[in-house]
Formats: sequence, structure tokens, C-alpha cells
Amino acid sequence: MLQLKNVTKAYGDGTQQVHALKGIDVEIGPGEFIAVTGPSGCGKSTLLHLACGLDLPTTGEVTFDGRTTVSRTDDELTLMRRTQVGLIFQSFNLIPTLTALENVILPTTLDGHSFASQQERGRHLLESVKLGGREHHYPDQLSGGEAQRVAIARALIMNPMILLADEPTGNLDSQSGMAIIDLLEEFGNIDAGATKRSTLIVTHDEQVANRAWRRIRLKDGRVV
Amino acid sequence: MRTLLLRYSLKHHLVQKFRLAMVILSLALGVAIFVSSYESIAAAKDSIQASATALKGKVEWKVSKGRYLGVEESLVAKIRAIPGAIAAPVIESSTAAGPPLNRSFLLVGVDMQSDAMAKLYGGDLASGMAPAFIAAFLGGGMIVPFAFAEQNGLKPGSVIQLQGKVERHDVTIAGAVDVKQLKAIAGGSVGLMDLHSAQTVLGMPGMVDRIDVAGVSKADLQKACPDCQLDSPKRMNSAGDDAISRIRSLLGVSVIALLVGVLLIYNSVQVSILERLKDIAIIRAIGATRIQIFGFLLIEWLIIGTFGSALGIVLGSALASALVDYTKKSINTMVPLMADAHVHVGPKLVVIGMAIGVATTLVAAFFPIWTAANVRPLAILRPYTYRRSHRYGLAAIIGVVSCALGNLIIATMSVSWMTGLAVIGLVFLGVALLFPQLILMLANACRPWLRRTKRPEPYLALDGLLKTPHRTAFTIMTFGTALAMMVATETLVQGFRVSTGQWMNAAFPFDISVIGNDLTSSLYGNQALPTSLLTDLVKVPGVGHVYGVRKLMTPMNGQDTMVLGVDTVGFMEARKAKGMGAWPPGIDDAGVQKAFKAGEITYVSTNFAKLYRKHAGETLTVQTPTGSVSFRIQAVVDDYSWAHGCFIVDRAILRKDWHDDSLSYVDVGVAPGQSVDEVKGRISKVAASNRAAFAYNRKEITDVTDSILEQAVAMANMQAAIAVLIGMMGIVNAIWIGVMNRKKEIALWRSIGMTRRQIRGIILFEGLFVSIVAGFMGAFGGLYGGWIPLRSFSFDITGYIYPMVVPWAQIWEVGALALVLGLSAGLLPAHHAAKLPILESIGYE
Repeated sequence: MLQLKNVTKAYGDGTQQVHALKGIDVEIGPGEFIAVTGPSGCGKSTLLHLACGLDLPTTGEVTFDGRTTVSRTDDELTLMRRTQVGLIFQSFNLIPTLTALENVILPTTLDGHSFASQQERGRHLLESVKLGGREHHYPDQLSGGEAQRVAIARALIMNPMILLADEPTGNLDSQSGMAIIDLLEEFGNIDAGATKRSTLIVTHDEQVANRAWRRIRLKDGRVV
Repeated sequence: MRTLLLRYSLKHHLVQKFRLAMVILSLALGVAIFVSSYESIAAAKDSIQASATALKGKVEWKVSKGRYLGVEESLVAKIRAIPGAIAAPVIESSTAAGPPLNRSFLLVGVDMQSDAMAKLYGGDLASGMAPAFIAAFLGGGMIVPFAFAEQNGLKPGSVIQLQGKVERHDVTIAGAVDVKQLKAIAGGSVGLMDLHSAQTVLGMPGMVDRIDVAGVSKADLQKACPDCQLDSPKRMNSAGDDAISRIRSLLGVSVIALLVGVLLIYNSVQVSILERLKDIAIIRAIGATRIQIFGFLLIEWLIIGTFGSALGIVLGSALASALVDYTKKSINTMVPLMADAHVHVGPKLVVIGMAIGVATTLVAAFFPIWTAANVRPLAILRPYTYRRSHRYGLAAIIGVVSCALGNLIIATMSVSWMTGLAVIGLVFLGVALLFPQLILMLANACRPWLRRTKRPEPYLALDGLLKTPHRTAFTIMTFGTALAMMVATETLVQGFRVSTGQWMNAAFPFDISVIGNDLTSSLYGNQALPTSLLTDLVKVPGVGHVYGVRKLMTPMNGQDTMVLGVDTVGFMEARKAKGMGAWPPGIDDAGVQKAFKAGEITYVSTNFAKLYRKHAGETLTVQTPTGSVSFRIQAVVDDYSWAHGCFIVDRAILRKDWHDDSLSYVDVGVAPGQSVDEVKGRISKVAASNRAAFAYNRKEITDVTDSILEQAVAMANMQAAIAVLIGMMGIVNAIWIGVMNRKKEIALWRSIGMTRRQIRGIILFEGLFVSIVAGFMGAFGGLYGGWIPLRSFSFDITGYIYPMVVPWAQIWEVGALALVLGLSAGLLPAHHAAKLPILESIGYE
């Protein structure tokens, strides 16, 4: 499903150049629940950004669903993120002007569906993440845990092949954090179209990492 | 700490160079409009005043039987008989000159041989002139200022044709002089003739316009000529007063343009503060007082205001030169009053410009700065500081009250143009306070509807705009007000154009009009045509009906009103032949017609009735050269002949009471089946054979009046166009700021699958929404902005009463302009938003 072959990523030029990733080889198959761990600055987030096409490798190949990311146009990468990837951020990144339900439905409307046609599905997803009755609340009316659950529902609405979560529990207390991991586990390896969904969580929380079925450890830009 | 804060704030502005440039430029344009209007009015006033002062000389009294009534030349001797009296007879008449001049100028007739002239106007005119020069002058030649001669290619011996009362006269240029007083009169568009030669040319033997007198008391003067009117020469003449009052309205337009600038600055200040709200909260949290925050932000905007104002003064001075040229052209088309008007940027103008600009900035900045100084640090430093519920209820209520108060004043009181402008300001303030609430309500009504569409761009754009309802509201107001200025100007123009068109169609049954002055050089002239023209024209093949009209000026309560003498029988026959009904109303009644022809009744124009508070059935008494005469007012009719009103009588009454048997124009109806153009060609030959007369068809006359109207509003349109430019900059500014403030949100959209095209779409939709609402505001606000002057003070400025006409074409044009400019304003921010680097922006705070 997702392959990173000898991937490097460098930022800056000349003497100022910083190598975030130094020749990474990672393969993620269908239905996997993986944690990427490592100390700060080891390249965890960079790996996630390369995986979803938000960034491109300096050298090497990132292949998603049979096609490398560098061979895709910007619009194709956008479409890939919209339909095949579910992104979850540490700081939730909900749109403050939209209600919880509107935030969840947003990716479907980007895909040309009307709000009305997706309302039921959005509500159902909110109920699935235990936010039934909070559809019309705005982000500033939700707790951190609730906001992250809205973000998970939003990531799930397009039924993506892979969930990519960047420190999803980083801004939460441990109880709320575990509830989020429960949800990711619950929705992270179900059927997504013809294949089973995979989940990749970037974390430095050992408790979270221990819940993963497989762990990728990074140090100084390399898999150790 | 203050220095540190100032460094921090200036650094912030230097990072936002584009926005800083927009704010300074928009303020500069607003100040420029004001400064240019102020300066061009001052320059015009100075020029006209200089003309009046030069004409005045040392004169203490102007003696006549009433303005336009003249006085017998024989009275000069009587006045000179008073010990110490200096008396100089003067003829002063705006006159049209044919080839090669083809323009109007002021013809002044003086008694050069009398020492009174030198005593009253200075001794340098005749002194130093060669005897041959003086001989040529006394022999009927004309003296002109050097500049006038050079400008028109005149040399001693050149012959120009002057339109006299009855016919055209060839006049030889005696020479050109460089005399200060002469140059100042009518801006140098003046010709000096010997008194008796001028009397011959103008057809007024034994009469002069007035006698200028000094060295005698009013009582002695009144004793010498008891039936004379004694006027003080200090006053600017009425034409000058009219011209100044008309162009003064430009200042009002510039104030509105400045208000547009206020909104733009308000928006910019607010955004620059919102951007730094978190910084301000941190600074407050670590110990800055409210006063310190208030102080450094105020100084920051004081500096920006000073820069903008200085630039505005420079731009305004350049603009003023163009405006003065327009003003000159506009005024001189009516009466040659102005020339050599110079824009002088003195300390007074600099102080006024700086004061206006800085005050505008500080007024606009005060509220946002006050709000910033009072922020609660904790509230700002919390995550999700977005406020969903905005409270504008109180502001909306105050807004409604302001609007209601403004409308109440207009509806119930008769106000001057200054008060009218103040009312417009009050209503503007009311709308500004009401608008955020209106925008919220409108958006909330639209949102569910937009959400039903399959595209997310429209409602996301709406959400983007609603994040800051007051900024959106003020952006719309900035642009909408500028558009409204265009619609308002056109509403006034259309009202005048349609009503004068209807009046021409209803009142005049002519196909061709033969006039004593060339319309291409001047609209107004007091040139007269001989009555023999009537009989000559009747004989022209193809001519069906002919009637003559004489326009004379006559004094009325200190104003110059117009008396229109019409050949009633010819006029009625011409109307009948054209299948037109009775005009003026009731004139087809035999009894009324008999009374009209006998001089028992008159018809007065609507502006006459309003100006002199006259109604149908009342008696009108006017002074004529033969004494006072009275008429019963039969009816009040729409007539646009003269800004100070007119009354209509049979031409026989002018012969009897005004001793005037000449014509101002002859209207001709073409016989059925005849070509108007062919008949006009024949008439032109006959008319020009022995006299200076020019033939025009209806369209040509309408075109001339239209072009003068266009010229008169060109300045207002130019100001409105600049205001629209400021308004458009306001949209660019607001959308750009919106993009900058939502970098993270935009990056987030992109990260979850929004394409660059969709991002562009959202931003363009924002521009579209603003332009649609601004377009509506421009249309309705413009109609309202046209209605207030029509309702309350357009009469003071134009002298006419006319109805409101909705300028549909202009409204559609403004709508299209709003859409194009609104979308164009969104292009740059949209491009920028679509290109935002996702990862970098997602970490942006």
C-alpha cells in the first residue's frame, strides 16, 4: 500500500542544509497498525508528510497505491489526500467557523457532494466517535479530546485506505489520549474499499506506541 | 519601553509592506481629492474675485435704474455737477464674437477722454499709448490685453465680427496693452471700446449699463437721480456667485470620498491590530498598561497618517491643476469669468491637508486602538479565540436611530447644502453602525441555501467573510459608497436631462432654432436679432411656421430674473401644426389668450415660484425701463430657461414696457414633407447673410446642453472614480488580510484535499460576495444619495427643481463594474492563497 524506498529529505542549501531523513526504507501493508517513534527532530513528522504527499522526498521514492508521489501532479496529490488518506493532527486543526458536523462533512463537499446528502453519514460518524448530540457545537465549545474525535471522524468520512496521525494524543491528557487510540484502533484496520485500512501513528508516547502492532523507530533520520 | 514598542510596531508594518502601501495610498487619494477640490475652488474664487475687484476700481457707487435696465447717459452730467463727484459711464456686456475669435468675451465700453476713468481705475491705461493707437480706439477700434491678443492671433488692424443687438459689426483691433486691471477683468477675456462705439455695436444709443461714481455721498447722489438704484460695487457679481456656489458642491463630494477613506483606514487599523492581538495580549500579560498600548498604537498611526497626508497634498496639488482647467472650462462656457487661475499650495493648504488627513486617520484608528488597549490577555491567549457570536445589536440600534434622524430632517426641513451633507454623514454613520448586523443577518439567511449546493467554495467564502463581520461590512461600505457616488451623480444628471427634455418636447414646437450666438462658443449671450428675420425666414422654401422669442434679464428682489417674450399667435399656430396641446396650460382659452396678449396675466416657472414664493392667482410686480408693471400669475409651469426663474409674457409687452423689439431666437417649424436638414441649410444662408445668426436643429441644441452638463459633472465623476479606486483597494486589502489571517486554515483545507483551484474559488467568491452586496448598496445608496439633494438642496446649487429619475443604465453599469472590480480585487489574494506552502503555513500562528 505505502512504500518508502531509500528516501532522503533535506531542507536548506549548502552548509545550512539539514538532513531530516537519511535513506529510509519502510513498507506498510493493508490492515497494519503502526507506530513511528523516536526522539524530537528524528524525522517522524517528515516521514508522515512524505507519506501523504504534503511534501516530496529529496531522493528515493514514496509509492502510494502503486504510484510514486513525485509522478503525481499537485492536483493528483490533493485528490490522493482527499480520498485515500485520512490526516489527523496533534492540534486537531478543525475549522473554527464550522460546526463539528460541518467539519466532518467538509472533505465530502470538497469532492462535490452536497451538505444535505452527507449529513446523515456525518452524524453517524460523530455518533461512532461518541459525539452524538454535539453536531452543532463549534470547536471552541469542545474539549481537546472531543475536538480530536471530530478530527478522527473527519479523517474517516472519505473511507480512506490509510490513516496518518501526527501525535494525535500530544495535546491530550492520558485518559483522553487512550480513548483516541481506542478509536484509531477500532476504525484503523477495517475494510476500506477493496483493501483493509492501515494506520500510521507518529508518537513519542510509549503508552501509545505500545498499543501499535508494529513499531518503526527513528533516530537521526534513520530507521533503527 | 515606549521606544521598544514603537520599534516593534514599525517593524510589523514594514513586514506588511503591501498593506502599508495600500493604506498610505488610499489615505493620500482621499486627502488629494479634498485638497484638490478645496484648492480649485479657492483658485476659481480668487480669479473671479480679481475680475470683480479690477472692475470695481475706486468706485463707491454703481448707478443705474436697476440691473439690466441701464441708465440714460445724460445723467452723467447731472452727477458730475455734484461738487467732488467723479462719474464714469460704463457699458459692460458679455458678447459673442464671430470669426476669427468664435468665442464670448466681455465687451467694456468706457469714456476714455474723461479723466474720471483714470481717477477711478488708475492712470496707466491711456498714458504711454501712441496717439495713433488712441485715435484708432476713438475711431471705433478695440483694445485687448496682450495675452488675449496672443492667444487669439490678434494684431493691430485685425478685424473681428461682434454680434450687436441688431446685427453683426466689424470691429478693428486698435492695439494690445499690458495693463494689470484689464488682464484681471473676466480673466483677461475682455475688449475695451470707446463708450459711443460700444453703444453703436450693442444698439443702445444714449444709454449705458451704469455710471460708476466716487467722491459723493449716497444722499447727494440719490438727490441728483431720485429714481436710480445705487449699488455697492463690493459684491461679487451674481454670475460669479452662481459659479462659485455650483463648484462648491465639489467639496461635498470630496468629503464623501474622504469618508470612504475613513472606512478603509479603519479596516486596516483593525486588521493590523487583530494580527497582533496575541502579541498585544502577551505584552499586556508581562506588564504593559492599557495607556502604554493605546499610546504606541496611536503614535504608530499618527506616523502613517502624516505620511499619507503629505503624499495626499502632493497628489492633490497635481490634481487641482487639472480641476482648475475643468472649472475654468465649465464656468466660461456659461459666462467668461475666469482665466489665469493658479493653484497655489501655500502653508494654509498644507496645514489644512495635514489636519484633514491626520484627523481622518486618528478618527478611523481610535476605536480599534481603544479596543486593543482593553483586551483581556487571558481571553486572547486561549486556543480557539474565534468568536462565533458577534454582538452588534446596540450598534445596529444606534445606526437605525441615526438613519431615522437623518431622514426625518430631510423629510421635514428645508436644509442648506452644508446641512444636507451633514445629514448624509449622519445617515452614512448610521449605515456603518447598522451594516455589520445586516451582514450577519444576510449571511445567516444565505448560508443554509449555499450549503445545499454541491460546491463548498461559496459557503466557505461566506464563512471567511463572517469571521469579521464589521470588516466585511466596512469593506462593502467603502466600495458601495464609492459606487453610490457614481449612481447619485447620474441620478441628478438624469433628473435634469429628462425633465429638460420633457420640457423642450412639451413647450417648443420647433424643428430649427435660429439664435444670435454661436452655441459652440458660448451657451448664453444677450445677443439680439432684428424682427426683420421673422419675415425673411417665412419666405424660405420649406418653412411652415415661424415665431420669435425674446429673453431679457430684469431685476427682481436683488436677483436677475428672466422675462420671456413670445409671439403668442405664431407660437400657438406652430403648436397646432405639430398637433401639440396647449402650453402653457389654459393658453388655448380665448379669454386667457386675450388677457395674456394684453399683459394682464403671466406664467411663471416653478423655480421662479419657489425663489420668490409666488403662487398662481397672485400678482407679480416687476420693474421695467418704463416703470413698474404688474401681472396676475395665471399658472406655474415647468421651465428651465434660467436658473433664477423666468416669467412669460407676450412679446408685445416687451415692446411696450421694456422698449425692446428685438429677438433672442426664432423658432421654425418645417412644412410637412420637407427635410429638416435641407431647410436648415437654406435658413443658415438667409440668417447669416446680413446678420450674425446661427441655425440649429433640436438634436444639435440638445447635444450642446448635454455636453455642458457632462462637463459640469465631469469633476464629480472624476472624484467618484478615485473613490471607486480607493474602494477597490479596500477590497484587495480586506481579502488579502483575510488570506494572511487564515494561512493555517487554508493550509489545512489543502492538507485534507482541497485543490488550489478550490482555494482560488473561495477567495474569488469572497470578492464576488463583497461586490454583489456593494453593487446593491451602490445602487440603492446612490438613489438615496441622489434623492437627498433633490429633496433638499439641489435647488440652491442648480437653481432648478427637477424630479428624481432612476438611471437604470448607470445602475447596470455600476453593477457590472462592481462585479468586475470585486473579482479583480480577489485575483491577487486568491493566487497568493493557492500558492501558500502547506507545511509551513500549517505551523503558522
